[in-house]
Amino acid sequence: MSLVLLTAGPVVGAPSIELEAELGLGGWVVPGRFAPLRVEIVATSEVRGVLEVIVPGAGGGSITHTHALQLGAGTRQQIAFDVTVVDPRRPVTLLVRSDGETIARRELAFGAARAAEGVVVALTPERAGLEFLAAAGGRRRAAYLGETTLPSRWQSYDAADLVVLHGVPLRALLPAQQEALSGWVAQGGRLLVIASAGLPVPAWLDPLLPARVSSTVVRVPGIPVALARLIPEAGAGITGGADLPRAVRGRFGRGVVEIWAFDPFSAGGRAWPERLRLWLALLSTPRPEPAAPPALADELPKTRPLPGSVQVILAALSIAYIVTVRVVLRRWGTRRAGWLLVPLVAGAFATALYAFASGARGAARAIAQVSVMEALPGAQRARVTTFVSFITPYGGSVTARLPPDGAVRLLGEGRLILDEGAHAVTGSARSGMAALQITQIVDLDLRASVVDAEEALHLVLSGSGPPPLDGVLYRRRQIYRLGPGRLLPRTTLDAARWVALDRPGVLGIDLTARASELLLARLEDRPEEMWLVGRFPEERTALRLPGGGVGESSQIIALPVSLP
Amino acid sequence: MALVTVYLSVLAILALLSLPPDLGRLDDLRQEGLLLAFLVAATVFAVYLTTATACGEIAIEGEKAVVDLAASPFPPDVVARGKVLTSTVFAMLLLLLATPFSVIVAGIRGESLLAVWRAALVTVPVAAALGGTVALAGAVFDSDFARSFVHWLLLLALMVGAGALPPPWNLLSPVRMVIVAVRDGLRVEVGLAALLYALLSVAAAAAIARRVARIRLTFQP
Repeated sequence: MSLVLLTAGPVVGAPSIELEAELGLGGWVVPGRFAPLRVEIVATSEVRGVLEVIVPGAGGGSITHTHALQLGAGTRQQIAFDVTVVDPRRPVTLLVRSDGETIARRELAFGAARAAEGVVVALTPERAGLEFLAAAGGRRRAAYLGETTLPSRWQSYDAADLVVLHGVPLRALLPAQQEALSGWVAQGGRLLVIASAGLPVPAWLDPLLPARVSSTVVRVPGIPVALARLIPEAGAGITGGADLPRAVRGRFGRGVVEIWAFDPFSAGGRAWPERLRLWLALLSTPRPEPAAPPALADELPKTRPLPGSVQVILAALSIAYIVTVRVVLRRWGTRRAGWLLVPLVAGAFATALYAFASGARGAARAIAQVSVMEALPGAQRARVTTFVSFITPYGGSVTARLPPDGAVRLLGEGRLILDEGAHAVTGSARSGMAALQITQIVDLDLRASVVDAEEALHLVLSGSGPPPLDGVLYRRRQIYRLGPGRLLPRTTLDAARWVALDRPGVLGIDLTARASELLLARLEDRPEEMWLVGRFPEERTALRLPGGGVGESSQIIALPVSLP
Repeated sequence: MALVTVYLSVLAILALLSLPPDLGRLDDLRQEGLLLAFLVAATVFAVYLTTATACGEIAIEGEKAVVDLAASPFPPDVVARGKVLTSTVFAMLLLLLATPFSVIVAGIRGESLLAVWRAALVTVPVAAALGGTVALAGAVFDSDFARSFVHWLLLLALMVGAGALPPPWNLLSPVRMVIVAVRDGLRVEVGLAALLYALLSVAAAAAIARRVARIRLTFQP
């Protein structure tokens, strides 16, 4: 547990502030992945200001998370962030600012010793039971959390390899904690539920479980721990006998949920060698990569040329200035006090040209974004990965409004300022382009399946979500164009219309087409699956500029298709 | 008039050529380097034009050489002050006329206008001093070749040669003075270098006055 008590130094006239900060899951951080940061501020007198958390990024960049502070005398405020630590040797800086001045500053140094390759999170009343991780080698670490410290945002679990629910009243979890865990599992997380006889399953957990737990407890000779009787759901994977499974595994979205019939944290469970095989098998279960390829960020424009009209106007103003100077010097240059016209002319044109050039600089700033909404089967959710480029060809910064609950990651060099309260991000980069990745979990009720009926195959869309536009089917490097416009609920498929996706540009050359091709190339890793890919205008996922615009934007949905 | 037109046209082209956004991402330039590069170019151009007109390399209508003014009824010190003052005012005029193009670059790159002001502030004493010096050379050397040789030698020695000196002596280079003034502000060393040039202009004026007196003595019947 990384609990750091940071007390501000004495500053004359400034309120005394205590900063307590806890970083990571159980104090462990996986470089490059989100880590929860909880900051508690206690003030002895009233404070109105901003808390800034500065996290160094790669290539000299940084992300500054900000949140408004409003404390009365003797009160405390707790604020949670999710930060990405790239280099654990570089400290995270906490600042409290009020009225433009820094009234408290401390650095949160945790060092490489707190870095891990992965974290196994156990929600358990006792801080024991995961000692096998140290014996198994590698740098996977254990984090024991309670219901008050379990994260309430899905991105806080980013560093977790596995979450174990054991012996804690799950109904006590807050709705945000429930949704965070469900959302993380749906994206590809691994969840282990330890069954106990008569386990009260809360409503939020029930859809995730691959088996029901009966109230029967069985003692088997040779097994030092009691087994609860599990009743697997249809299609679930079983370990052990079908009549008395040791473990039952199922899927929720892209994630794995396993329920064990025994308690590996009990004395008997820890003494049973079979448990190690189950632990390692679960931890080695492959986790699917997101469908959105990181290369999408490279497809975004990195600069914007100055519009031709602006260049023409500047040239015209320059010529007008030269002509005016000539006229003034020729007609009034030799007259008494005629020289006064020279600074007047120079000043007037300088004002006009500066104003125009400054305006052009501001107008050159832009954003470009491409979103991939990957439906998570069976979870009624989708993972939306948005790659954004903040284009500032002449320097300066761009501010945009973030979609709700988006987890922001800086790609490459650049500086980001995240206002966690206002859901706004400001980006700048010396190179003129800052790239970031935003990941969200959104509700999506849309399913696609191929059914065999009436001697033909039909693509059927169901659910309340709007159908995609300009969709294509993809399987094994072949595409089937479903035609322009919105897809119909039922489309008959013609086997002769499949064509090979064998060269770039088959889908077109605009941003949507290039992004779709990259996405389909990524899906080649899943040859057994069929995907429906199309345009999907989605209000909930786009970054918006202050004026409401979205810049150059492309939104694509990738929907797995159930096959007969 | 043609001189001013050419001067402004060159600066306009330089300013418009600095518009492409890709220039700001070159490692050697970055955003702040483009304004600096423009101001250095404008400074060198203004100093050259000031000194070239002062020594007669570029003929200006109404501008007379020191030798010609020696035949005028004006006292030698008036002639000398006039030559140095002419160079000063001409340099100020050129820098004032360049301002709209400097602010284009400053505006598009988001740079402070104070940088433009600081560059002009250090350029004026340099141009005045060098203008007075080459005017003196025009009075000392009869040959056009010798006059041009001294002119260009002086410019190269100061613009390029002085820049190779170890600090703080490299601030004698007008280019180096502008770079430091734009990047770091009006530091004491920059002020001292400008003061040195101001003293040089006073010395050049005194030398011109003495030269005019000697010429008049030579041709006095």
